[in-house]
Amino acid sequence: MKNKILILIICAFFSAEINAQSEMSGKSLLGGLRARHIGPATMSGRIADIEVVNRKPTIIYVGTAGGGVWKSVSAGANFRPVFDDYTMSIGKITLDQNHPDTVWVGTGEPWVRNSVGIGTGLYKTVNGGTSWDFMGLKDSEHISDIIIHPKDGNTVYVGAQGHLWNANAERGVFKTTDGGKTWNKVLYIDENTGCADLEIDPKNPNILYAAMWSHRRYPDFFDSGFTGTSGLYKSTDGGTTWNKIHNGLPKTTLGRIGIAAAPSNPNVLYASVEAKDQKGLFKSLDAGANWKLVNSDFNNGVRPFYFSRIVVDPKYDSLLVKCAFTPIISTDGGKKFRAIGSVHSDVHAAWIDPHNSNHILLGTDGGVYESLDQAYTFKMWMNLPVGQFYHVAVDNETPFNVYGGLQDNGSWFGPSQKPGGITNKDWDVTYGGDGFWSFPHPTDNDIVYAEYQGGHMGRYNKKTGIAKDIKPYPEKGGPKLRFNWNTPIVQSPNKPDRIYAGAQFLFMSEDKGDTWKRISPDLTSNDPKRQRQSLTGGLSIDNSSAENNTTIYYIAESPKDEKVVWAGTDDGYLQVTENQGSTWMNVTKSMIGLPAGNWCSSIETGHFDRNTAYVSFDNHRNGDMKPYIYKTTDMGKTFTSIVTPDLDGNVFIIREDRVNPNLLYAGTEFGLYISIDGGKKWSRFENNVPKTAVYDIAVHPKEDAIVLATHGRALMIIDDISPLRQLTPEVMTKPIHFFDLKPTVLKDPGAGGNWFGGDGNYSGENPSSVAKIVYFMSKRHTFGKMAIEVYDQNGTLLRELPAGKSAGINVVEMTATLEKPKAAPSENPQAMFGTINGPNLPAGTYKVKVIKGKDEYLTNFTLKYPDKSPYTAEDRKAQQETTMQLYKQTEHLAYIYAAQDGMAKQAKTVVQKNPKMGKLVNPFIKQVEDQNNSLVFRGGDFYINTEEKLAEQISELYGQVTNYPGRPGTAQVERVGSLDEELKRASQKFEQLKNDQLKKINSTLTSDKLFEPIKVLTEEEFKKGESGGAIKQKQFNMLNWNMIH
Amino acid sequence: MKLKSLPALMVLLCFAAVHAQTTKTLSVDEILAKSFEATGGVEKWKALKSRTSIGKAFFGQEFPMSLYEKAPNKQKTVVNVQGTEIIFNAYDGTDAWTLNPLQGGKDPVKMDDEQSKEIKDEEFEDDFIDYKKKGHEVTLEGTEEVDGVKCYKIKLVRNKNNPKDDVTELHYFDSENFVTIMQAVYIRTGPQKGTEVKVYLSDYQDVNGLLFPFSVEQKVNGQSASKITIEKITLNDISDDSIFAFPKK
Repeated sequence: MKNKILILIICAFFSAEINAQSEMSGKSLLGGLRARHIGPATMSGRIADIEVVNRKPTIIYVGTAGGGVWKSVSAGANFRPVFDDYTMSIGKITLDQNHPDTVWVGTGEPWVRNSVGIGTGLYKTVNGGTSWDFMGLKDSEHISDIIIHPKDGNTVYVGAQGHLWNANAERGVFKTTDGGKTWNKVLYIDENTGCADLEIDPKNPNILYAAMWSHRRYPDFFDSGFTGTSGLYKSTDGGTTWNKIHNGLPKTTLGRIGIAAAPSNPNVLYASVEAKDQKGLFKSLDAGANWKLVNSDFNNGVRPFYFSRIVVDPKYDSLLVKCAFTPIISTDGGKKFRAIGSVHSDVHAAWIDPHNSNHILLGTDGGVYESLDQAYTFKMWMNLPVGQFYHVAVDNETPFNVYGGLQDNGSWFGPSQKPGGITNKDWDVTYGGDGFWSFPHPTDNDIVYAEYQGGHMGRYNKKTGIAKDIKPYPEKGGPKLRFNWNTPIVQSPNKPDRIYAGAQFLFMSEDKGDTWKRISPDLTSNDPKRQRQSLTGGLSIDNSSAENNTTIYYIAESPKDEKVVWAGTDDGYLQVTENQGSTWMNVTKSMIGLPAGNWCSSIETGHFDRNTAYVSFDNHRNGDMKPYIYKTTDMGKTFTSIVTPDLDGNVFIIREDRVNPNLLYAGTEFGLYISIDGGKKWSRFENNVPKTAVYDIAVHPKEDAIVLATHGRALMIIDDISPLRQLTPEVMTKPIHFFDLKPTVLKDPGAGGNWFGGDGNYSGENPSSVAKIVYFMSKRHTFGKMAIEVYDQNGTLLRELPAGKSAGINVVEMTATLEKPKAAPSENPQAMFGTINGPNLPAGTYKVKVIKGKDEYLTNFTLKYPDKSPYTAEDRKAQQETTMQLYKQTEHLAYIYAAQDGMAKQAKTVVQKNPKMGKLVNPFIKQVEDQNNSLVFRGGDFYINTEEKLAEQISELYGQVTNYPGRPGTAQVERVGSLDEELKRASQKFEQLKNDQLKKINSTLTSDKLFEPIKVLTEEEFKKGESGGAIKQKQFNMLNWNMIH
Repeated sequence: MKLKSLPALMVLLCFAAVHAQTTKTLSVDEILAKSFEATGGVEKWKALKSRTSIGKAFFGQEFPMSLYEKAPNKQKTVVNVQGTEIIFNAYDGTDAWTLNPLQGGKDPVKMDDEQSKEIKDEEFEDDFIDYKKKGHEVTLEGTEEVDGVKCYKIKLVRNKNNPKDDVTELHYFDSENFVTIMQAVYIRTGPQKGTEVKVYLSDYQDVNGLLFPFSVEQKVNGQSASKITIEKITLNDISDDSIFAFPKK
């Protein structure tokens, strides 16, 4: 007793200390809330690189465009992410084949499309991905290649492609000889020219090849070739000196080059060369001294910035794969190529098994594919949820569905939960191409809007499976419409049939897109210098609409006033109308500190005030990765920046909560940020949200969930943000504060679940469906006991639970059942599992006591039945009553068994000590054991030797009745009755053994004072006992059926 | 013993707290020394030779469990499922074994080398006691916040000199009172190899002058994987080693 008091004193001392501490970090504050990933992986996402352990090809690393590094140790059967605390855009993975647990990762994808992510340098693990160390080149932004010296793991070459959107000096070829502690820039052309590919001679590691690439992206233009300084270089002294090797290459300006040496024959080199003319596959037979164009098929020259990689078979110098729009394979050294079908187009990475040339892996815009017949047929690995969503929306179904469009993977919708997990087959595609905005009609859930790049919009009907084109067309005699790659098509929050679409003009439709009305003049700068899309690409024209500019990029109608509409453009304008488009006000200049020409990435209209709006700008396309978020409360007359140093990365989305105006969400290149004070302080949400780009956030209109569209890790849901809605500075000063939670809807077991699908398929996580107790603590609990007790309304203790101890938000989950009954030790596994769950708690309100040292804090939680349920309250009551009868039977039988077992054991000890007593005691032992053998099946193997005695019969029925939430059948109820009679007979027999025979034996035993009497366990002792179940006697009167609603 | 040591312990803890505020940088050995002081003293920890922990494990429902440990490396974890005892794992100094009827069969089974690696490597005595002699490497990796508590992050590499069997763990010591708040360990075998498991320790209570956590929660990827509440710990109470032995038929 004294110990406890002393510990309490210690605790009191420390709490005084901690109160003086500075405010809590966001990590702790938000820590109890957790995002769940729902995938899907059915369309997977863009793969930048694949690396395999040569000696053990079951170990595979996959580098993704925006979803980090994934590792498989099972040849692709399962993957897990191993790089979630770091930058998610991956350029190159290279492992030390001599020490396969040493892996280098260069961040920043080198396939620099308009939506490419941002890298932050080099990382290395020496333990197969368990932990990583930063190794430098932070400002390289995109890393195209890493080569480890084959004999010296401390010597490493890195190809830094460098900044895409502006000039920088940290690019070129870097070399370390001390494992990455120091780096020398061994090949540098200028601040516009980076290294796009590196190669090492497979036999002589002093010989290196480097493809240098001059290139630049602008918000409205891409230029491959740029300053004319691209070239192919060779070093024969380990990178100290370099010489151009252009003999036979085009004499004109060069662009991106991919270079590969045949591992089996170092004199054979292949290069995919971009040039104005004569582009295609070049080959050298003399280690680069002379080159010859050997093939100029479309796929040997297409889109070099996106595909330039060549992979040569490790065994045969004439077998090679060229990554391309449609990948191609040659078996004759590049003279002829065969197109590889049945995989997603746009291939960036390939691997050919050094032990088996028929075994090929491809990394595409839609995941990883594996062939075992030299690229004739492929299987897709359906377990990499790395999709790059642009936008996300939700509907009002129960459970709700999630909608969104992805980079090169169309538009999809799927459920937010599903019995057995949200699997690939649960997702439906609505529209093709690159998907962006996609959302359901607010009142007709069969209608889904979707689009593909450049403003091609459709209205899809779930019933027919067909989409109707609803794109606005140019007015008669009017100018050509300019649509962004990611054209806004937006639902009105006020009128279900109203949608908006943005070109350079804003269009509004009141009939779901059949008729459009132009409601604005050109809202952009209409600057002809920014309208170069037909010329974009540099050496290779790339007029895909990806560089369409001077367009409207974001549209938002105020939920407080349907006449207030905001529009933001990709050339830096923010415009607002208060009269549905009759007049417009350009409010761009009111945002102090906003660089001109900045891309308006999102607009959030206030949910509480028509004059309030939030707007984010994304200037990364001008080489400026800083966050920009502004707020106005006077319809754009003035703005305040709500950016703080806590925010990292350019901002894609700003959202205001629909309940708490001080609760804001922001998505940046490096994750999800939350502010609970209107933007004075931001905290990164770290719990299961990696540093992936968060492009969009949907705040569910009715439920307390938010859904994240990530550009690399598909979709994530934070199911219950209601604690954040209630978090105020005042709450945070209390030692403990309970949050009000909506009643937990008890989940009835339902159809579904999975059969024996094996590995290889992704399954998204379901929400937790158990009851929750959620509280805030200002200080962590470390010393002394802290626990939670749950009581019914009558004050009967139902369960004891471990408490959450962290400072910040704690979420304690409780299965909404009583503790399982204490059961006899059956060796029939069905019987064992039959009683492993407790009876469901009825709907109602339950009291909760959090006991922290000597302090007690009280709250409650409510359970309710689903609104749409086939089971009436009476049905459920009948089920619970029957369950409790079986529960009592289970425990009573377990008691009889234990008591009899105890009697038999003591009796045996008596005989052991004095065999003469056998004559008297052995018949008793036999009777007791016979009785126990008739009650519980022993002697089985827990598998196939299974028999049913009374305990197994009760257990089976208990399991059946508990699993069905409705009224038990008559047969079941009658069975309970007959089991009860049998149990009564057993009970009578037990009483008889105990009262008649045992008494006689005990009187003999005690008469000569040689023996202690054989004791009989009481039912109360049994229930308090440590072994077996954990039920307290007082629970038995606990069910208050009046609580049923 | 109990009554004598506790007031002293309290004073030590108070001292430690004040001290932490005035001292800027501590070496890793100073932190470990303070941690041993705060939890009962290193001599007392060295004198500890066995421990029995009785409690409950929570996996939706609660299951009684007992953990028996004895120096140098013997241990046994028993979980009771509906009256049937499952020996989750046991090590008798020679064989690592398990008895799990839920996976079929009533006979104890010896674990193979891969499976038994972790339990065989586990020593009863705290790894930080005489860690240099034991061949472990210990480094301070700065401070980090855990559960809202500023912690010293200490990296422990066990068997540093034997790179094939080295094991890395991270230990987070409360910077004010020096008890362990959290440990990060890594799954060492199977397809999940390398996955981080965070072990949160709380409800520290005194047992014969030593402080033990009575609440242990394991989280994987932010999600609770298991919770254990200890109800009773007894020390130096296992005299008979036969409870660890692989049962003979």
